[in-house]
Amino acid sequence: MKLNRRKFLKLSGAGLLGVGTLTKTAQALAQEEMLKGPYDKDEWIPSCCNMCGGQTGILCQVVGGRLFRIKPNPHNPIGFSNISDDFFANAAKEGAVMCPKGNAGIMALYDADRLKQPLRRTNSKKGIGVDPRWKAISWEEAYTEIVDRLKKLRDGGEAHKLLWFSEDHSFTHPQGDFCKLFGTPNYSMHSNLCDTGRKASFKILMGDERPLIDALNSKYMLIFGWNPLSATKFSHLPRIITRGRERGAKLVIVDPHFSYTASRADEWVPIRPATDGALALALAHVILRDNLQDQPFIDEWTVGFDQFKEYVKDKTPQWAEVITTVPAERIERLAKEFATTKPALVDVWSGTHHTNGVYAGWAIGALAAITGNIEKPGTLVLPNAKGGKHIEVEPDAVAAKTLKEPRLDGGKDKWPYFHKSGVYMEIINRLVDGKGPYQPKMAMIVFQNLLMSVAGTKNAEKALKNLEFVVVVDTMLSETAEFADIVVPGTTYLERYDLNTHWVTWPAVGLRQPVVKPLFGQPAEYEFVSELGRRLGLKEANGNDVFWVGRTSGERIEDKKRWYEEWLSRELKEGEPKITLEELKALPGATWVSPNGTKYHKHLDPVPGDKLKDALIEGNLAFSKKKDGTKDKPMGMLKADGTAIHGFFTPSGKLELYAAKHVGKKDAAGHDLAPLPVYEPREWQPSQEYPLFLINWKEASQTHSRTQNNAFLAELKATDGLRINAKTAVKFGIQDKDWVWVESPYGKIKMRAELTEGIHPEVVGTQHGWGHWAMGKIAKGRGAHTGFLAKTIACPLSGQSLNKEICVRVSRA
Amino acid sequence: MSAELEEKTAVYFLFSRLFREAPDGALLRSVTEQKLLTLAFCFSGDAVPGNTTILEDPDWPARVDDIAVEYTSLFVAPGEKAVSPYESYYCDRLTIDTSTANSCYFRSESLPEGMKGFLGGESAVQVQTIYEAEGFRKVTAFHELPDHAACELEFMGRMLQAGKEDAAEAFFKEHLGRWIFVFLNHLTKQTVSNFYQKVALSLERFIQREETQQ
Repeated sequence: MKLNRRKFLKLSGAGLLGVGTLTKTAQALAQEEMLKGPYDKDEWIPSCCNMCGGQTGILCQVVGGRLFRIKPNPHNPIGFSNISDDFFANAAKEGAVMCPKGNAGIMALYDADRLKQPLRRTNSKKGIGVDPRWKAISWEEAYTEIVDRLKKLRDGGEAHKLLWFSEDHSFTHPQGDFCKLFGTPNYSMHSNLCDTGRKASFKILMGDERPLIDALNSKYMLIFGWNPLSATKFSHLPRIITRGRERGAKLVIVDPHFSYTASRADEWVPIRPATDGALALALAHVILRDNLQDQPFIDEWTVGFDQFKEYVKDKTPQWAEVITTVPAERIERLAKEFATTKPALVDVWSGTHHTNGVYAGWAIGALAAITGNIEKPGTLVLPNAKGGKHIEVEPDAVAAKTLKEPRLDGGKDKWPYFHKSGVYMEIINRLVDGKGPYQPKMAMIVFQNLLMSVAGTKNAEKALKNLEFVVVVDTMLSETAEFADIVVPGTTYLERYDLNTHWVTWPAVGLRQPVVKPLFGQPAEYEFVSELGRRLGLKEANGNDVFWVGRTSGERIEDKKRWYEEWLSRELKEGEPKITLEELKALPGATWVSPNGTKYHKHLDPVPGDKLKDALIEGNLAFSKKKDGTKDKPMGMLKADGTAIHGFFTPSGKLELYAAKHVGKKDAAGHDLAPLPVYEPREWQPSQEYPLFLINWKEASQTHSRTQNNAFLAELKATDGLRINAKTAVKFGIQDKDWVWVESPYGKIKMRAELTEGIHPEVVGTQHGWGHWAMGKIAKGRGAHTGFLAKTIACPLSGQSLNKEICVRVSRA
Repeated sequence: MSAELEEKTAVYFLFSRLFREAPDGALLRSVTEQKLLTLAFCFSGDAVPGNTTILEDPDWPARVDDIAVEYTSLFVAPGEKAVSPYESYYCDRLTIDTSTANSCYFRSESLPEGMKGFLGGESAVQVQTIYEAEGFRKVTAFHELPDHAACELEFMGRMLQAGKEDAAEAFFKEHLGRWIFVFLNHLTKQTVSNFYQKVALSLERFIQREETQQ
C-alpha cells in the first residue's frame, strides 16, 4: 500500500479542519478588547460568597485574570456581626471572618468536573444509574431546542405546565419575572427545603418570618435544633455567640445530637426528636406557674395569654419528661434560669422539620413573648432587611390567562402558611401520582439537585421521569442533571452578579460581582434567562420588551451583562441604598451599610402620617391596600390621639399566643388548625420493625448536598458515618466502624457505624449531603444518602419538607 | 517552508481539530479514506512502509454519532469516563489561603501544600501569555481554556507554519511535552471505542518521534 503524507495538506486545504482555536491578534483585537474588562490587572475585587446562602463578604485577589486568593471582606457586616454598634466599632480593627467553604470557593471555580458546554441526552431512557449518553451541543442548539419547547407550551395555552425550580439567594428576580411573563404560576425555590417551617412559626407569633438573634448582648441563649457555631448559615454566628458567652451568657443547646455547638455550650439537653414543642410548653408551664413572666409586656403586647396559660396548665415537667426524655427537674431549672436571666434569647431553625414543627417553633417563640425577650438588646430581633427593590413586571394577556391556573402544589389555598418558595414535596407527589389539577410537561431546574434534596429519592426519580422535557442549569453534572434532556453549564458565584440584603439586623447591601470571566465563556444565569425571554419575545402588558430594555436608560441593550447591570442599578436606586451599581461598586468592600444601624423596639416606632393617610382602618389597626383597594398587610396600631405605631405585623398587631384566625380553618392534611401552639406527636413514630429515629444535620464542612466535590472540603472531612449511641449499638450487636444496613420502608443504605455517647439513645444520625452517585469524581461514593429512606412529606401548615421525619432499623451488614 | 515541515504542521492541526470538537462525517471520511492517523503514526522519511498496520476503521464515518457521544464523555461531560484535556490539570497545584479562616474544622497543619487536578492554573496563564507574545489569541467562539490540548497542539502547528521551530521546541518542552503523554495514556485507558484509541496511539507515536528529533 502506498500512503502519501501530502494528504494532510489536502485536508487543511479542503477546510475540513474548520476554524481553529487561535487567531492572529490583529484580527481578534477589537472583539477581544471588549471582553477584556478590568480582570487582567492584579487587584483585589470585593464580592460576596455563595458557597452557602450566608453571603459572607469576600475579597478576591485576581492576578493575570486568575483568582488567586479569597479573604474575608471587613466592610461587609456578614462575616463580622449582625448588630451595627459592634460592626461600626470593631470590624475595622478586628477584621472579618469566613468559613472553610468560603476559603475553598476557589476550588469550586477551578473544579475539573465543572460543566463547560451544553449537553443533550441521546438515551431517551431515564433513571438512576442509566447513562444519558450525552452529546455536546452548541449554545445555539441548546437555546433553539429549549425555546422551541417553551414556545410550544405557551402557544398551546399550556405555559402553566412549566415548572421552574431555583436557588433562593441567587438571581431569583429575573427567574420569577420570566415565569410571570411566560405565564406559569409554578415558580418554586429552595426555601421550602430549609426554613419555611420556622418562618411559619414566627409569622404566627409576630407576623415577621425571620427574627435574628442578638447573641452578642444576650445573657442566656436557649437554642433548639440548631448548630449555629458550625451549620450552614451566616459566618458571623460563631463570633457573636462566642462573644456573648465571653460576656457572661449561658448557652444551652437542645438537640438529639451532641453537635459542635453543643460541645461548646454550657449545657447540652439531649431530647427525643420532634418533641421540642412539648419541652417549650413545659418551660412555659413552669414560668407561668411560678409567676416568672413579664406580665406588663404580656398585657401590652400579646393576645391570647389567658388561653395559652390555660393550655400549658397541665403541661407539667413530669408530662414533658415522658414525651421528651428530658428529666423534670432539669426542665424546672432551665425554665427558671431562662425566665430570670435578662436579656435572654430563644431560637430554633431546622430542628422543626417534623409534622409538629410549626407548632413547636411557635411554642418556642412564645417563651420569648411571655418573658418579654423580643425586640430588646440580647433577644430575638426583627431585622430591618431593606435592600434593593424588585421592580414588578406586568404579564401580558397570554401569560395572565395561564397564571390564573392553580399552582401544582396547591399554593396558599392549600397550605395555611404557604411560602412563595412553593412546596417541592407536593410537586413531586403530584408528578408521581398524576392527581394534580394538570400534569406538567417541562421543568427548568436551576442549581437545584432534587434527587439529593427532597425527602424520598425514589419518588423524585419517578417525578422527573414523568416530565416530557427537563432542562438543568448547574455548574456540576448532579444526580438531577442526569435526568435532564438538556444540561446547561452555569456559572459559579465568582463569575456573576447579585445583590445580598440578608442576615443582619439593619439595612445593608453587599454586591456579588464577577471577579473573573466565566471560565468557559458561558452566560451568567440572568443572561441565559434573558436570552430565553428575548427569543420568546416575552413582553409586559404595555408592550415593554423587558428582557431587552435597560431599566435605567430605557434603551434596547444587546449586551445582556450590561442589561443586567442596569437592572441591578434600578433595584438599588429605588431601594433603600438609593445609589447606582457603579456607586455601590465604588463603596468600600462594594457594600452599602445604612448608617442608621440596628434598631430595637421597632414595634413602638410611629407610622409616618403620609402612609397612615392612605391606610385602610379596621378597629384600631391600619392596613396597607392592594391595587384594588382591598386590605393587604398590617402596617400599624392606632392610638387614641389618631397617630399610629407599628406594632407587630400580626392580625392583632400584637404577639399572638392564640391565633384567632386559625379557628375553623384546616391545614393541607385536612386537620383543624389549632389556635394554640399545641404539642402533638409527629406522625411517623418508631415501631417494633423500625425502632430508631433517623435525623440528619449540617456542619461547617459542607453546604447541603452541593459542595461534596470540593477537594479541600473533602480533605477537611472525607465523609460521614452513622452516629449511634454506644448503648444502643450494644443492643443491636454493632461495634464501632462496623458496616451496617440502615433500612426504612422506603429503602436501604449501607453506612459505617460511629459509636458515641453524643447522640440520644433512640436516635441514629448523620451529616446531610453525602452519598453522591454523580456530581464529580471526589463527591461520588463518599458516605450514604438518607433521602432513599425518607417519605416525601411536607409540613401540612408551611409546606416545609420533612427530611428528618424518618424511622429506621439498623443491623450489621 | 519544507514539504515535511508543512506536513508536520498539518498533522498538528489535524490533532488539534480532533480534540477541539467531535469530528463530523466529512472529517471522519477523510481520516478513514486517506489513512491520516496511520500517516501520522509513521511520520518519518518520505514513504510509509508497505507493511504498516492500518489504524483506521472503515466503519468510523458511519459511527459519527457514537463517536460524538464518546467525545463528549471523554472531553466534555464530567464523569468516570472523562479524561481531562488540560495542562493545568496534570501540572499545577492549587493552594488555598486558610490564614483567615474561622472554623472548628481547620487542621491546617495536615493540609497538603497544594492540590493537583484543577483547571485554569498557572499553565493556562503562561500559555496564554506565550500565545499573545507570538501574536495569537484564543478565538472567542472557542469557549475553552488556553491550555486545552486543542489549543496547545494548534499553537505547535502555528509555530512550525511560521518557521519558528525553536519556539515550537521550547513550547513543547515547557508545556505540551510535560503532560501530553500522561493525557494520552489516560485516554488509551478510558476510551472504549477504537477511534480515540487510535487517535491516542497515532499522536503518541508522532510526538515521541518529534521529541526524539528535538
